[in-house]
Formats: sequence, C-alpha cells, structure tokens
Amino acid sequence: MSIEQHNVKRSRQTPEALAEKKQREKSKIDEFLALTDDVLSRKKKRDWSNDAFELTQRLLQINPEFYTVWNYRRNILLNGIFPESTPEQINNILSNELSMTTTALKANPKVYWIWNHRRWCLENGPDGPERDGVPSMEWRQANWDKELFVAERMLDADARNFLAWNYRRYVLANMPTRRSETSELAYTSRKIGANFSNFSAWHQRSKTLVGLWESGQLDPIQSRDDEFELVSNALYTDPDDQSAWIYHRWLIGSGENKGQLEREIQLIFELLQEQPDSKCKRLWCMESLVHYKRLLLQNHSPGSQTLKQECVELLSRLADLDPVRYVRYQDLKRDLDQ
Amino acid sequence: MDNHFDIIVLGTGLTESITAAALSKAGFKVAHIDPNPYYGGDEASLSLDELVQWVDHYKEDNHSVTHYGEVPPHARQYSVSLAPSVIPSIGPFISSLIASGVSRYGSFKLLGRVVIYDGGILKNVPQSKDDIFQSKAMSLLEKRRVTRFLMFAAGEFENSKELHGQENSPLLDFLHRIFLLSEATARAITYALGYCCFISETTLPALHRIRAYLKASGRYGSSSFLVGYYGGSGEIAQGFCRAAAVRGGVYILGRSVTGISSVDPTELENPVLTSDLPRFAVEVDDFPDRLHCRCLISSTTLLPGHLRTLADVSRPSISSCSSPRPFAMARCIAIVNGPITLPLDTEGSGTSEVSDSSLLVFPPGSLSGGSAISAVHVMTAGPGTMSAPSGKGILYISMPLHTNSIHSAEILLRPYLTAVLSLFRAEQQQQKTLICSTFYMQELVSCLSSTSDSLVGLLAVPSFSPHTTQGVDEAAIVAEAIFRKAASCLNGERKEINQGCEQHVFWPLLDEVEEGEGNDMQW
Amino acid sequence: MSTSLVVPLHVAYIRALGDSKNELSYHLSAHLRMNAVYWGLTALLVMGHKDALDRDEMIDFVMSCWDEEAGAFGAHPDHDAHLLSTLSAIQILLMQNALNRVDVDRVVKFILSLQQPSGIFAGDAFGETDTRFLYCAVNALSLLGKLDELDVEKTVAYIRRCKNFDGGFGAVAGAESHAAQVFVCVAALAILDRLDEVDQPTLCWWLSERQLPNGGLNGRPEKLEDVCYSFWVLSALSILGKLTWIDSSKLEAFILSAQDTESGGIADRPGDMPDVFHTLFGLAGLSLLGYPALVDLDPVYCMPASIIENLGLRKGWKALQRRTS
Repeated sequence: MSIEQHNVKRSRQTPEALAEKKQREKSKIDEFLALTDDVLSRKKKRDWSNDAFELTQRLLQINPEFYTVWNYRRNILLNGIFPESTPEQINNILSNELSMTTTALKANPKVYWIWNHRRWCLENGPDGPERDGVPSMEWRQANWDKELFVAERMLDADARNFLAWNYRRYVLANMPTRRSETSELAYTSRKIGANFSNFSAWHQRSKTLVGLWESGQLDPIQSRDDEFELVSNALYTDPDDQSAWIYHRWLIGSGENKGQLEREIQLIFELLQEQPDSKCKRLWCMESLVHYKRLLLQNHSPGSQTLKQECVELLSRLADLDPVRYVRYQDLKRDLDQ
Repeated sequence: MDNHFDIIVLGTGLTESITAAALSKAGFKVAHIDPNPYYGGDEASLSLDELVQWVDHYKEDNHSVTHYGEVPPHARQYSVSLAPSVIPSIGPFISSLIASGVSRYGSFKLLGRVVIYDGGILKNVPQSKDDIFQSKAMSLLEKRRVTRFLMFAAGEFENSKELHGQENSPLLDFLHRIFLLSEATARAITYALGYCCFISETTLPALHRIRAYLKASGRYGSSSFLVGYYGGSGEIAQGFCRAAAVRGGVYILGRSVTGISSVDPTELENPVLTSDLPRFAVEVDDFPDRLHCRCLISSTTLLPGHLRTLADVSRPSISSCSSPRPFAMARCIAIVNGPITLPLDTEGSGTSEVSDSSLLVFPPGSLSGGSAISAVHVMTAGPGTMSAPSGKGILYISMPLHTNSIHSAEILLRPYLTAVLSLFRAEQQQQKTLICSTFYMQELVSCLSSTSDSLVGLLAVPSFSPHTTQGVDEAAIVAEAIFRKAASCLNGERKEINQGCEQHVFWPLLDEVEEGEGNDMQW
Repeated sequence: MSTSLVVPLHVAYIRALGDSKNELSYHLSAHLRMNAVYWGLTALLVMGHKDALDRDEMIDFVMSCWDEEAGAFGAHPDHDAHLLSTLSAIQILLMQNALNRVDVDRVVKFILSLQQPSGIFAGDAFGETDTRFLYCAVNALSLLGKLDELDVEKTVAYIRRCKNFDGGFGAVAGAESHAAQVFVCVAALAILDRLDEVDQPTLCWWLSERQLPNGGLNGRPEKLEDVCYSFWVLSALSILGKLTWIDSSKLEAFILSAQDTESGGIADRPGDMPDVFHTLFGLAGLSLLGYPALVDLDPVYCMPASIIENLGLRKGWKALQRRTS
C-alpha cells in the first residue's frame, strides 16, 4: 500500500508476478523492520552513541521521510557527539550532514523533512575559527553560500519546486552576508528568461521589487514601466500562459494610475484583435480587459455608461466562450448593475 | 587469412561505416576496405598535413582547388572535417549512435549559437518561446506571430487550414502571407530554423524539418543540435568502424581495389566447402589472393564503371530529410588565429553559453558579391571540440550549387570569408589573421537510377548528403535500408541464421545501455 | 473509466489497506499511519460506511501512538509526537465518539508550545514552520473546545503576512500561493471567525482559474491537475460561498475518471495508482459537489458536517445541494 503518491502509473500484474515480487520484498521488509526496531529501542534508551548515529543514517537512506529518526539523529548530535567535539569537528560533522542530505534531496526533492534537517544544520553550525580572538564566520559563511548554490541547483532541476523556492528565500534572509536585492532581481530575470511560464519566479520578482521600492533602491515609477514592458513581451509571446497575466494584474494593482490603466487596456485590446482564430487564448485578454475597465470605472470614471456597457458585453462573450466559469461572469455582471 | 566473407564494404564514409557496424553486430562476416589511409572517405576528419596531401591528390584528379598559406605548427592538433555537419538531438542518426554504443567512443557537445547575417550584422535566431520573449529585435506583434507560427510548426500541421493548398508554395512566401511575418523574421525561419539551401524551397518539407528540430531542442539543452569532437563526421565514422572491428570486422585501409568481378561460383580456384557461394571477387592491391563475398556494398564513387549501372541504389528518405540535393558544393576551410567565438549581436543575451562551435547562416542575397539563390553556412570549430589547438579556430564555409558553376569555389566564397573575418575584427576589436585557407569544389556524384535488373547482392551507397543539418540523419536512414537489403539477401540462402530471428533488428540491445550525454546534474 | 462512484469497491479498498503488511511501501509509510487512518475513516464516513473498520481496534491504535514524553500523538507507536498526527488522532477519536480518551490539558499544552513569536506554528519540537501546522493547531484547539487559550491576534497576524497579491496564501510569509496553503489559511481564518482578512474577490478569481479544460483542478498556475485539489480548492471556494464559480459537473467527471474501477480507490489522475489520501480528497470533493447518496462534509474541518454541527462549530460555508440521483 502506498498512502500518498503522485504520478505513479497504474499497472496490472499477474498473480504469479505479484507473488514473486512479494517474496523479494519480504527480505527487504524484514531488514527494514529489524533496523527500525533497533533504532527506536536505542532511542528509548537514550543511546547517544556513534553506533546509533550510523544506524540512523542507514535507516534514513532507506526512508528519508522517517521524521522521528531525523529527530533522534539530531538528539544524538546534541547530546552525544557535539559535547565531545571541537568546533572544527562539529563543523565537519554538519558539513557531512549537508552532503548526505544533498544526495537524499536529489532523489526526493519534495520531502519536507530533508529540507528541515538542512535548516537545523545551518542554524547549529559553529561560526568559524577564531582570528585574533574574534569568531571569523568563515565556516558559517561557507556553509550558507553552499546552501544557496544547492537551492539553485534544485531550482535548475525543477523551476517550480516551491520547497526549494521557500528554502532559498530562507537562506537569503538568514545568510551571514546578505545578497543584495538587486542581485535577486537579476536572478528572477534569469529564471523568467529561461522559462517565462515559471510563475514561481514572477512571484519572487514581485516580492523583490516591493523590497527594492520600499528601501528606495529602485524608482517605483520607472521600474514599474520596465516591468510592464517585460511582461507585455510575455503576454504577446504566449497569451495562453497564466503566469504573465497574473503578474500583469499585480503591476496594475488597484489601478490608481489612469494613464497606465488606459495604456495597458489599449495594449491588450490590440493583442485581442491580433488573434482572431484562437478561441481559448482570447479568454485572458477579455478577462483582464473586464478587470481593468472595472478599475477604470471605480477609480476614475464612476458612472460611465460606456465602460459599463463594454464590460457587460465582454462578460457576455466570456460566458459563451468559457462556460466553465459562467456563474463568475454572471456574478460580475450583476455587480456592475448595482 | 580466410578470404571468404559474407559482405565486403568498399569505402569508410559515414553511411558505409554505419552499415558495416550493423552487419557485424548482426553476426555477419564483414571486410571493410578503403583506398585512403584514413577513415571517413569524403566525410573524413583530417589533420592539417593530411589535408595538404588531400589537396594535392584532389588536384591530381583535375578537381578545382586552391590553397593559400603555410601549414602552421602543430598541424596534427587540428581535425578538419571534409563534411562539416551537425547532429539533430532527436533523429535517426543519434538513435543509431546511442543504440550501437558508438556514442561511447566519441564526445559530443551542444552546438553553440545559431545566428543569421542580416543587414551587415549578426542576429540570434529565436528557436523557442523563451527566445522570442527575450528578443529585443522583434515588435510585440511580431512576437505574437512568431510564437503562433512555432506552435503551428511544432504541431500536427499536415491537415491544418493554414497549410491547405500551400504545400508547394515557397516557404518564405508562406510565412509572409499566412503568418504575416516580417521579411527579416521569415528569412530567419526559412534559412536558420528550416535550413533551406535555396531561395525557392517549398513549404511542406521545410515544415517537417522545423518540427523535427523544434522537438530536438531540449533533449540535451537549448540547442537542437550536437557537434562531435575531433572534426565530427570522420571521427564518428571511425567509431562505427571500431564497433564493427570489435565484432570481428576485418579492416583494410590504404589499399586500392584493383578489380571487382562478379563470379561464377563453379570457376573458383578454391572451391568453397559451405553452401554459401560467393558472388563477387575483389582484387586488392598487394594482396595475393582475391577476396570473395556474397554481398558487395560500395560507395558509388568507388564502384567501377561497369558495375555502376548494375547496382541497387538505396535512396529512402524521411520527411525531415527532403531538401533538394545540390549539384555541387563550393567549400572553404580556413584556419585563423585567435579564439573563434562568434561575436555577440547587439542583444547580447548573457545567458547563452560561450561556445566556439556555432553556425552562421547567410541567407541568399544577404551579402553583396555573394549568391542570390543559395544560403551559405559558416560553421566554426576550435579547441572546444578538440578540433584545433588553443588559440586557433577553423571556419567552414559551404555553398550548395543548383547547377554547374562557371566560377571557382574561391570566387564564390571569398566574399563570405572576408565578411566573416571583418565581423570578428569589428566586434571583437582584435586582429583575426588568416593562417591558411583552402577552397574547393566538391562535385556530388549524382544518384544512379535504380535499375530493375540489378545484380543480386550488389548494393551501392549514394554519396553523403552535404546538407549541414540533415546529412547525418540521411546517412543513418540509408544505412538501415542497405543493412536490411544485405541481411535479407544473405539470409535468403542461409537458413541457419534465420532460425529464431525472422527479421534482423537494426541495432540489437546493448549489453549495458548507457546514454553517454550528460543528463546528470553535476555538483 | 466509470461515470458513477463505485462505493463498494472503495469501501473494500480502504478495509484492505491494513492487509498490505507484506509490502515494503506499507512499512515505509509508517510515518503517515495516523493520517492514513484519519483519511480512511473519513472517507468511509463520507460514503456512509463507518462500521467497515473495527472501532475498538482503531481507538487502541490511536492510543498506542501517544507520546508520553511530549504529551501528544505520533504517527505510529514509538514515533515522536507531531501536530499532523495529533490533529488526526483527535479527529479520529471524535469521529469514533471517544474524545474522552485524550488528555486534553497535555495536548493543549503541546500545541500551544509550538507557536512561535511570529504567530506561526512549528510541527514539532524541532521546529519546521508552515501554515499547515498553524491550521492543525487551530483546528485541534477548536475541536477540543480550547480556542480561548490561543493568542488569536498573533495567529491571524501571521496569516496576514502570508497573503499574496493574487489573493492566495503560501506556506510561510513570502511564499508563493498554493491551493493547499490557501485551504489551511482560509479554514483557519474561518474557525477564528476572521474571514474579513481574505481578499475574497481576488482569491475566488484565482481559485476558479485553477480549473483546467479537462475539468480537473491544479494547485498553482501552469501546473497539472490533481484530484487532491478537488478538496483544497473546493473547500476554500465553499467557505467563501463561491462553489458555483467552477464547473462542478466537469470536475465531478474528472474525479470519477480517476477511480480504480477494478480494485477501488481514487488516484491523483486517471490511470495512476490509487491511494487513501486521494481517495478521501476525491470523495470529499464529490460530497461538496452534491454527489448523490454521500454524507455532507464540513469543508472547514474536513469531517462529517453533522459531527461539527453537534459541537456547535459550524461556520457559514455552502456546498452544492445534494442530488438525489
């Protein structure tokens, strides 16, 4: 039985094949259960020895999701091994932990417990050898730099892995020498350039830009226009991709800037005109037009019957084109009438 | 030496070498003969001193060839291909490379940039949605239209309304009219995505190529193509020969064939004990005894005149390999000082890796003094593929010709060489000096027409397609067809081989399958 | 593929789950056993087959997972206490009418000890934080009648920090919106009566855009559909009163097409191996969509609605009318 699995194709096996497979599995099961019993009974006895430490490693290599064993492993380090070790040894042990979990991560990039163990290692690492009586931070710096590298390799392998993105944000926020937000903006540019359907990167970009605006490092007006240009390229290249549309909606925000709203409405209108043959691609154009025209209506031209009428017409066309969300379009239409 | 073979293969060109490897792997006894002292025939990879000898030889045969400059030091550290080409990352050739295990003998890397010469500057050619998104040269509307075209070309376009009735229109015209693409974009797609050689190539075959290359992109990286190390084609041909030798193939290089006769088995000087009666006797220079075989496979160029009309020629084609065959190729090989990375265009997208293997396409009519009807390809190679020593580079310039040209290769190609060198100078602000250059006209033996009364067991291999992107795939397709003909011809009379294996598999499973090309993350 | 729900097969499938002790994967998933029991039991209740699994045996199993040192439940005997398994244990005991077996004071203490200064909860003493654990804490405290011991303002303040411009919520502050995290944040806010924190028009727009042309729902833009989002997306829409913003019949057909009609169970998508997780969330989705003869499910707690109503905890969610055929 598997409790939770994704993307495993169903296959029918003959009874004979199943029986054979079970026989093969039996020895593996026996081995696994014996190892589990050994580790858990040592844990009960508060065995903080090196032997126990090795056994947890064997067990976790078979089952990296065994959170209790990760906990036990950390307790062995804290209670048995660290008290006997120099800072340099501790640093080496934690570096080994990081290497071991790198291998495990490559095989299981979506296992929370592995990412969590890495966090713990980073947070419990010594700063570095003392220089003139002051901790040098060398080890800490090296470990955190390496960590950023690992997170980025994981994102190279799967650019949408949200665990890797979350972890990367955590590393960026906690590393001893922070990376600039400007370099983070450049990172999102690279990720978006490599695949602009990567909404995770657009999301990160929105967060980074807010930081840059709030700290005054970037001019919000000029850079917002640059962003509009960037995202228009994505909209025009593939109007079927949601990522850019959602980012575009963020850039518009609550629509205080009338000129901007009108300019973008025009741009989308031209895009809509350009693709008379493609039915489903029109949806996002029209859906966005409705949203932006409603903002125009609310913020800048209250009571404009023309705008209202345009929205109602677009919503009627949307309801025909996209019956899946029919009720939503009807609800929006009703809102306009009120 | 036992001088009886199942098959004798004449010529070690790419197609012949693939065929020999497949037949050896299938358990047939193969002798493989080449008059040249090197592997690869017209697709050989030569060191610079070998190239000079080759030029002398070529001249003696009354071919048009001119050579300038002294052979530089470390001549042996160069591997110069006589048939510069790239390997589509998905296609019959790469399948053969992997399935035969030959990919393990060689090294390959992604082709770097593909750029097009447009209005005196180099421009990137958008190969994917993400390239289009990043392009600063195209207007928003153009981006929309190009993506639409790429989605169309990547899909099942055969029964589309866009294509209906347009199959035989020139591709350029099709792109203008149906997809409303600008002149510059249509040219880029026609010549640097569809790799049309001539100005009027038709839509359907070009669409097949574009779809194949769009699919190939992403298998090993962003480029659709790989390039081989050490000169590419010749090195790979040698790899297939090595695979054949491992399975017992006998190799005779540097010996000419002085005579081939089809024999009457009863007149043999040494009567054969088996029932497998030979059909051909081959006399090889310096060999006292004639070699016998039941099936003779020969490159058309090595087949004596009296047998040419009697040979069965294999010319199967696939839809993505249907560019018209040129009459001849004007070629230039130039060795230059200095690194050979193509200068970045004005966009300078920093993401693309710097590679010294790249492809520059001159569309017809793009260069004053150049051809108005042929597209000219400039391939670069250098230390990145171990094709030249550090700090040196190789330029290959090729121009396909419709018909016999009154001009020499040099007159046709000199303007391109000058243009490329000045592009390097202008954009890299460094002197790019020419060390030596060779211009020659490669005449392609026109395909023989298949004859219905061909001699049993006599198979001719058409000459290698000089098309930069589809040549190797054609070689693999032809090799497979010849393999099947040879196998069925031999099995027809030797039942014991047939038992348990009704039809031969082109490449049986490898003992240990591995795909040498790095999919692994290395960190 | 089948057009109707094969209830007897799914019941049999869940009953048989405990019989697979001769499969390695059964043992490798021990760390999820408590959750699996909750998923299986809830699925049975939704199908109206509560008695398909032995009550006493189940309660004994839950109690055998008590971690005396931590004062809460682990996923399996001798496994460490964790918020995920603790919530599941409470839900199971409540559904089996055996909540009196729980040492409420100790569990509440365990839960509250995991709240961080920022307001988010860690899953256990070793401190992975995630809005999933925040939901587990809020849900469990609510079921135990101990919400008054929670610093609600601090908790809500953290959820507020997880809100994104698209109206959705992420696992931690700064993280991308994800339908499962949207569910846990919206449901936690519903329990805390703080749905005013939600940007409802934007979030409902984002949620309704999760439906793909094949009827299935995805968890984030430009991702594949998956049966489990039938619950995460639907529950949030149901809590926000906008279940009609997606096409229920297409989604229903998608969930039904992911059934294994030979051996029972529901998979993540058609043709894949079924599992108990997707079986529950497929059934939960069908219940919210008004599929005939299923039991009403409370989308806030993901438990039978009648149990939540009896506790006086029902919030203002709306499911589709139960159809008779």
